[in-house]
Amino acid sequence: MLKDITLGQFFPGNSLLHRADPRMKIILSFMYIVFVFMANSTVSYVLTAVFTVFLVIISTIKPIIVLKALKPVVFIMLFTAFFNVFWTKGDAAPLVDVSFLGLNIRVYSEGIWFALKMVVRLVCILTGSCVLLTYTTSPISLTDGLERLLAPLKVIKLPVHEFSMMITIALRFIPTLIEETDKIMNAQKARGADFSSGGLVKRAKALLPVLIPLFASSFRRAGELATAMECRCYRGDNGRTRMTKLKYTGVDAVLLLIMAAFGAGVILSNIYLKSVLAI
Amino acid sequence: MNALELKNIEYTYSRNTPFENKVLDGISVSFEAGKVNGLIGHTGSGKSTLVQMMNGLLKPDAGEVLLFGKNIWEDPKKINDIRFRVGLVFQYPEYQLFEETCEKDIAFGPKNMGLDDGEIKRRVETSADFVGLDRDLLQKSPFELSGGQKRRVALAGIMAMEPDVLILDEPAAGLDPIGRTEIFGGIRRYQRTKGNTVIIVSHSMEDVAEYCDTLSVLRKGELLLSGECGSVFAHEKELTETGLGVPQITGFMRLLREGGMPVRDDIYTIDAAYREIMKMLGYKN
Amino acid sequence: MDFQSSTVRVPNIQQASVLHKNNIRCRAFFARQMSAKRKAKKLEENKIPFIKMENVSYSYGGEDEGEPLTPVLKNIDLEIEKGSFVAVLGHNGSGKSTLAKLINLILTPTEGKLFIDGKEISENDMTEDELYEIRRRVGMVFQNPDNQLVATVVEEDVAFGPENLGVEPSEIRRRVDEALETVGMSEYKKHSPHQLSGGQKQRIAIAGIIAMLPECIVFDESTAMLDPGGRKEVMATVEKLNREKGITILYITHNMDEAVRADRVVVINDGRICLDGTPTKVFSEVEQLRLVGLDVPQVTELMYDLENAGVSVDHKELDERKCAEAILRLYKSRRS
Repeated sequence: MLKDITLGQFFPGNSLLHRADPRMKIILSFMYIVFVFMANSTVSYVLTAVFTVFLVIISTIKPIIVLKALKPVVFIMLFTAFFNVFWTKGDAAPLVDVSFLGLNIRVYSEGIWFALKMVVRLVCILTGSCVLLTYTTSPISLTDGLERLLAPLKVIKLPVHEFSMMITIALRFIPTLIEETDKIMNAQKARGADFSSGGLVKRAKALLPVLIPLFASSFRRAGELATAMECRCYRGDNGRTRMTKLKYTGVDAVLLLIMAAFGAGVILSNIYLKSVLAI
Repeated sequence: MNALELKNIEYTYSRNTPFENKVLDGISVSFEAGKVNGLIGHTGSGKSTLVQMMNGLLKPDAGEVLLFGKNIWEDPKKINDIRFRVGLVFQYPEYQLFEETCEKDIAFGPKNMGLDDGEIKRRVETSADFVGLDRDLLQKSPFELSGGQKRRVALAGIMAMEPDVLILDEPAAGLDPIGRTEIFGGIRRYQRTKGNTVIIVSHSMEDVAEYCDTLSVLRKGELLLSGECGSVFAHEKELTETGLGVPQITGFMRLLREGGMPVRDDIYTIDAAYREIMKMLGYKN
Repeated sequence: MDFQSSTVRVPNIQQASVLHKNNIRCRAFFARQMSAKRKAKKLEENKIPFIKMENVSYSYGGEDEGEPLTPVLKNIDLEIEKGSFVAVLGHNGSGKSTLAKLINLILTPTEGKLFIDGKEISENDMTEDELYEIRRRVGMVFQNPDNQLVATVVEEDVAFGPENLGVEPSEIRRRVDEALETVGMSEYKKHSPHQLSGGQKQRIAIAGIIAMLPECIVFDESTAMLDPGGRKEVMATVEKLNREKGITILYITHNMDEAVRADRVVVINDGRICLDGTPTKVFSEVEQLRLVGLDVPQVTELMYDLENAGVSVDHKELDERKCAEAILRLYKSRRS
């Protein structure tokens, strides 16, 4: 059933990362991604991997959950790795050199290393940003953080508040609409609608009896919500205050320092330890 | 004879996840053919789950669903045919309307059954008559109608499939007294003309008392009481404990009984109460 | 000796418990009496009606040339006193929801005058701030609980109103906690609205309104989509707001069971007020209520039928115990 899909993928907790300010976490994720891309020596790759494991540990999120997040991209990762293994040419003699069905297959050690590095980089970025942001930050504080981080952009007339309001409402209504879709599908099935057989065109057509009522009800909801918001004195961010004030704390400072240290480590090992274990 | 019989039904939502929730644990309940059967229970009593089992939208983990004695899951490929024989009207069915005209919307079910145009037209018109829908409205868009009218169009859409068993989940939810009388009037007309089985799922004791012949009461996935309306309402204590209560008039008759007036304990309509009190006071009609 | 003392003690305990129960009942009775007196006094003090409508009419349409006007409300004169609990009863399309939207300034009357707290409301000479101030003072709770909650966390949603008003963060926090306490939903403050039942969602919506410290709340069929349990929850909350916080309640419904619990019932039919008075008075008009498509409580209907058949009982009484007593008296006098 559609209802079983969990959205947002936020896992409540009380770790260092859970307690950090969402704005800081957005900044940290950004820094982290930049540093991972900067890594280009073996040592810095190892450092990146170790640091990512460190992030998972301090987030107190179960490693199995993190691995599950990687599942959908495993195929793409293997696919690119596969091409890199066979298509990268090296200077030394190939490790494997066979002729198969008229194809010359040569695998160089560079290819293997290149593929390996790429996999490490992808896995690290995915795991790291999940752990830093989505897993440890509730969607609402994420949008909140984003709104406040981008607040200076209001000066150049960027609708930062409106954008974050839109996201908040979307997050609020996603579960409601999923439930509604479920209901409408069941109601049409009870009238003999068939969603699971026939070709692509037939299936797309079969969805009309679901989509039309869903749209109609979304518009009705939107109208009613707008009236309700007006009754609750909503008029954009005109004179609006917030209940929760975001405050940077010691936790944020510590995390920033750790991240900076990681960045420094990557850069230094890129420069000074380039030849160590170089392939 | 039983039109629909559910035997030892078990069902668990979100199995093998942390959200696992066993809503039905070996419940058995049956509905008499040719009668209006009431099914009543709280939100969370498992009645919505049970209803979706009756026309094969959900498959029980264990147990059997028998339609006129035959297991509906005998041939899972033919489950769509079962859905035509057991018509299910969901709560707030007006939100499933989608066609350009009411006529086309009512015809959606019959069309899926593969009927010919003449037969579809006949069914659309008779079911519109059952629910008391003006023929002029048939050419209008369902989105232009009032709430009560939309509800009746949706109901006609299921009636047009002429199911052997018609199930309605809270058919009068959110309607005012006029709307409620119209909807129940339509259901009654359909039932009397066709002689088919009807199951009304509700949490309004008053509605069920007024329109049903038999009554089954669910509590937390179990069958608490079942039988003729009067005999079920005689169990006022159990019904009040589950928070469902009895119709106001039944409670009133109990007050009279407690005050020393030996009135019957199975009265649940104003008419019956009136006759009983008149008799007790010694008035002749 | 032992046996004796135990036989003596048992009735004593029973007596004590009966006494105790009576005591509680007495206290509750006096408390009710007191609050009724206090309320009467309060009504006495506030002679100015909080809401006043003078000859108000409203029609839809007519914006484009040639489009016909559809009158919804016709020449309504209505005064709602401060601190009162008024039910507006009518079937769908009777114009009762339009009435609510006029009071909350979502719609403006096509004709007539509307006063809120003695001040005439007209769109032309009102600043935006004044408009929002009225909306703060007159809160509104709608029918569909899903379509009025904005945030993904309960407490964030309750904070939405005060945030819009520019209230200080610490004050918002205090109000949110108090509002959730009032509706009895404090333990759900970190929940997401979609995990709640209909009645709970509606109570959150109410909390969101009371956090704006309104003087009046309009309920526009707020229980129509709820199950009996949810209805009870919401109704109890509404009564609490009126009795304990003195908030003026305008309760729009087509459910007579709920209207019975108000101080005053106004019946609207076809855009006009057709009955107005205490529940006892209004529900005694069985014939007229039936005529406008509304129900009366089953026992009232029974008493009405009995009276019509020549049985000398009073059908105007709403309390079923008193009705039963009347029939029992008659029964006993006939038997003897």
